Amino acid sequence: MSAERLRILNLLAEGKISAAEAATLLDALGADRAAAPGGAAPGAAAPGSAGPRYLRVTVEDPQGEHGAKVNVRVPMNLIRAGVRLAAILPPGVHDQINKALKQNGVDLDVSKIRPEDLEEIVAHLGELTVDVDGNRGERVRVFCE
Amino acid sequence: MMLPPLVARVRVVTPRHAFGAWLPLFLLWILLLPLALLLLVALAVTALVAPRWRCGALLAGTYAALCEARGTRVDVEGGDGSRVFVALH
Repeated sequence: MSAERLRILNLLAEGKISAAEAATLLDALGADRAAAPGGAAPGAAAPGSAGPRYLRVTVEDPQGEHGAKVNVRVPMNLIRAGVRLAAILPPGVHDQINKALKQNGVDLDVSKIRPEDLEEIVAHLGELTVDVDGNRGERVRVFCE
Repeated sequence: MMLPPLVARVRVVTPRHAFGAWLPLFLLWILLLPLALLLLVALAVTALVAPRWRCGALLAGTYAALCEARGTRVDVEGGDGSRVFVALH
């Protein structure tokens, strides 16, 4: 239990505030946490909760040149932090990113992406599963765990 | 408290050799601490000259991204028995 929450409950126990006032204060405290930069977006899995914690990318190419296998595990919180970082980049950098994306065939204006939209995308990444099987036995899987 | 990765586990295996190590990244952070202080001063000056760059937020965001890198694992295995494994703890 946080110190603020405990303080409100102590004030209630001491009779300095009413139950209704305590409920209002506790609600406000909860809303502040959700809106805080480090707080989870509504619907997002909080760290330590049952939501997905990692994004996994596996690539198998048994008949490729080297028969390589790639297995990458990226924490979802790293993706969230990256998304937040992208949202606060200076405007001049956005133009450079847009240009680089366009050169690679992605026509996207990153300056128009709002942080709350990105948080929602990351929160819903948990439902993402990409499974691609090639005709040479190669396989790419992207999923969350 | 949010902390950057403190240890990196690296394992490199080739058909001939195998090498594994736990790298104490916390020593690197301690060594970089004086540079970080200088960076803070430079950022403070930049924030005064160009406030729209949001240097404080950028620094905080970069640090948060670094801290959240804990738990990252990359494992690349070649068909000839070679393997590279890196994990941040």
